[in-house]
Amino acid sequence: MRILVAITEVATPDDTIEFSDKSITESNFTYGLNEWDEYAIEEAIQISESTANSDVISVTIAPPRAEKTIRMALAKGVTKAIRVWDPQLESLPFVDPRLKAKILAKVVSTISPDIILTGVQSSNDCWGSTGVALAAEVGFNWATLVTDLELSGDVAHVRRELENGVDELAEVTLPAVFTIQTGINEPRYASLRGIKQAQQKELETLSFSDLSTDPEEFQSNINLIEFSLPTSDNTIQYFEGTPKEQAAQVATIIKDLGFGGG
Amino acid sequence: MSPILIIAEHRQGIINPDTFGLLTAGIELSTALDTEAHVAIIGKDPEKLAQDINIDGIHTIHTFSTSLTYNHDIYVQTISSLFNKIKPSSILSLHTSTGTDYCPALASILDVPLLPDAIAINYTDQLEILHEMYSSKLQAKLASPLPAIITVRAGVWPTETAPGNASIEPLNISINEDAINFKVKDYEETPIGDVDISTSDLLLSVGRGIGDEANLELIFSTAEAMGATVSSSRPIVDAGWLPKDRQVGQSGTKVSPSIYLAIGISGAVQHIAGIKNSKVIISINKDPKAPIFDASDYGVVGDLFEILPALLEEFR
Repeated sequence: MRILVAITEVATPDDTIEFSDKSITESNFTYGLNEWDEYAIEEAIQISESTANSDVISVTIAPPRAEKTIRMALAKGVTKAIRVWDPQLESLPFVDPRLKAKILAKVVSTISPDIILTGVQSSNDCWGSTGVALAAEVGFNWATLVTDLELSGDVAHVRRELENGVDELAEVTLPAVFTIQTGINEPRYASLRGIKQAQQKELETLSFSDLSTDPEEFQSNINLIEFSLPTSDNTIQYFEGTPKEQAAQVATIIKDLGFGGG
Repeated sequence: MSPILIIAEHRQGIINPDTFGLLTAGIELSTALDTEAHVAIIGKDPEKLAQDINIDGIHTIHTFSTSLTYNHDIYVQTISSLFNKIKPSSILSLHTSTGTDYCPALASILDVPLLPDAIAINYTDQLEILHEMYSSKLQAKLASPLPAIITVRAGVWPTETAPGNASIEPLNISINEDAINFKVKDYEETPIGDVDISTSDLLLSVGRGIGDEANLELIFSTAEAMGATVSSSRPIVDAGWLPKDRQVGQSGTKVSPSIYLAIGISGAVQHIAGIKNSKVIISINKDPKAPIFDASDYGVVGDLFEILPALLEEFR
């Protein structure tokens, strides 16, 4: 079985975001694997470990900077990695989900996977849409928000996490795309041996001209007008002082509302 | 201008109440475009469901009857046919487990722009939405040509509605059964264990900031001292440190305590959705820009490992 796992690199949530109207200053970011993709990689590796003649290929749309993050996926057990980047993408503030899907679809057609795994969303773009867009683009079936995945012949039995504590149990025919929800498994740490081996594994880089005779087809149909900080009409009272003083103020609120024996 | 098409959401015979906010968003956009607002409802007994969403501002409700439980293949086929019939100016759906399950495919198949998770929609001389990025720390104003597919965040638009007089028109579409490769078998609810966080009036809720499973002891002892029930955000349950019935948020439990005390919780969108009905929210977080503070009444910017022991002392 050939498994493609589409992964992305993200700035860590603690990073302070500096930006202008049209671009984000990335120099002050610390980068890592998107949290949802950690689970997608683990699921892909687990499937490959329990299925004969399997390989896991990762694909990432990112500039050269991301190679360190991609090597971490290789260190965890991904067989081979592909990184797609093109000068055309450098001028874009982000890659919209349909454009991502169009680019990834070209990679899918060259490596012909049986299943595709990806995270439910990325914490930077927050589109939550790329997996399903990709499925439609390549004519695969799909299941989203997957918290349990069992393959049986050409059918996958999935548990999907809906809202309000409700799960959906469904069946989908392969080939299919699965968007993986956090908590589906326990992502492994890369071993020292894995990290060493990762340096020897293939990390192929592709540009638009490698993927298509018509690079002009990779156009975004969404324009950024501007970035801005979220506005809030929320009024909040902050408690200042030493930790002891802050704790005392929190305790006063709790006791005043009739809790904690106040 | 051709109409706005809104896709109503429902499950197991009940309209998702967030659909009313979606209808408001769609009616507002139709007003801005000076056009009609149409609704599509796909499922079992759609004429009955149509009565529940026949509200003021809706011109036509298109119904499509199928015996199948929610199915994205049927949604994509039905809405594509309707799209080709009424050529809407745009399609609106909720950005939920349902909307995100069919809208991206629909956008690819119809070859139209997809604008995900809108928290505001405007039309003056072009279609614009606001979309949050970087864990809600940045927002992007995005524009696209019409028609576009917009998925709309639940809980943002007002849900108050007045009865309407829309015409209900059953759709005559033939479904290609061979193209249905996804089937829902069953639904399951998270069983409630020994604690029901939805009925607790004082919740002490713990998030990723707690760092290590062993530190939960500090949380439980503080909760015991003040008489609180312990709940958590998603990462704590994902890590297996607490059972799913303790998880607050969109996919877990929505809570409405008198006091929600958030410890080391950054405040992901899905978490905020679950705590909005709390009377008082107090948050302790080391990151002054954590989105949880935008939902809180009281805030402490600081190290929870310094503040919690002091808080525990206050209740001893």
